[in-house]
Amino acid sequence: MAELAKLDATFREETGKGVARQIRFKGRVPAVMYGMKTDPMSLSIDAHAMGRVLAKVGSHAIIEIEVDGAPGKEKNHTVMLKDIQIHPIKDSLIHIDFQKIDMDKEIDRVIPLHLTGTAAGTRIGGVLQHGVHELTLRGIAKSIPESFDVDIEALEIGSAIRIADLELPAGMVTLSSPDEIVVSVVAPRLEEEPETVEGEEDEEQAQPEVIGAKDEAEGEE
Amino acid sequence: MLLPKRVKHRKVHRGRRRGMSAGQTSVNFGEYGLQSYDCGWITNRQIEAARIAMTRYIKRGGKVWINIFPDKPVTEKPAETRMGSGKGNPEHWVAVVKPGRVMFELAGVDEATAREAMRLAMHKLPVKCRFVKREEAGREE
Repeated sequence: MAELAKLDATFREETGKGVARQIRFKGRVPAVMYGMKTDPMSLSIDAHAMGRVLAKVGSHAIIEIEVDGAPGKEKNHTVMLKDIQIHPIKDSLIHIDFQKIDMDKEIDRVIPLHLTGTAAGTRIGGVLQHGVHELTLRGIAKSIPESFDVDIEALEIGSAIRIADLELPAGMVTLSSPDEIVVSVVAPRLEEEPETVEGEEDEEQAQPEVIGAKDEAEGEE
Repeated sequence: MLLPKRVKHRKVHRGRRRGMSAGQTSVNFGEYGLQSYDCGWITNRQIEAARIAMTRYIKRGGKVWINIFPDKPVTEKPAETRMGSGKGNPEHWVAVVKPGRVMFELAGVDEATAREAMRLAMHKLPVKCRFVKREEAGREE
């Protein structure tokens, strides 16, 4: 396993949305760290540093976090990014959840699934449909890979790779459904465009059936 | 054109469009998406026009997802009618969109084609939009 990304965090005692807003105003991100049967710990992290870590290792990475001002002796923790809340328009970080993990114990981790090569079917006009972008693996934390590559060179039109077809690393099981299609190549389909008759657009649109309207009418009679 | 098959009520209140979109704020199905910056009502004709603009540009290949559905009836009173006498007649159907909503998604085409297809679709819609990509782990921005 490659060297873990490092992140500095500051312990905070105050909680609530007012405090969280003040933290964000100062260019930091409120966060929480929990797991391994310990009390949850409220933190704040520098937004730029967190952004750099996310761009480098992705949103499901395992990172090493150093907490400043935390009660107790232990300052360094190995954590997994459990949840990231991002503003839908500003793209700024709103809140982050870290889950403490033990690298020698079994965990469930979501890893990105990458496609390698060019499918044979797409060379002759087929359309590649990538259904599953992430894979949930259960195994010893330190042996779970950062990402999973799927070779699609041999995929012809009409063929597909399912979760059950993937060769997982030794000692790993996937929690995804085995029948789920990871990637497939389908024949191209031309969009049929119905010919519009002039004046048709101005006509009143068909009205849907109103639930219960018929029953009421019958009841009144 | 998109239209509900069955509805519970023929006419509904206009409602308010406050806050951000509660869900579907990231690309979930395809590779690229068209995200709304504003709130608004998108009619089924506008959705259809945007879809046609996209599919015509990408020609063959590629797949389009429409993540909004016009399930809200809009009523209008006939022209030169005096006010009163109840609510008007249902005239068309709209989808309520709030900021952050990814309305269309696209896959199976290269980024340049997707950008242009989405740009053409944007011109058919009454809200400000932006082109978004699927968030990929480990991707350097």
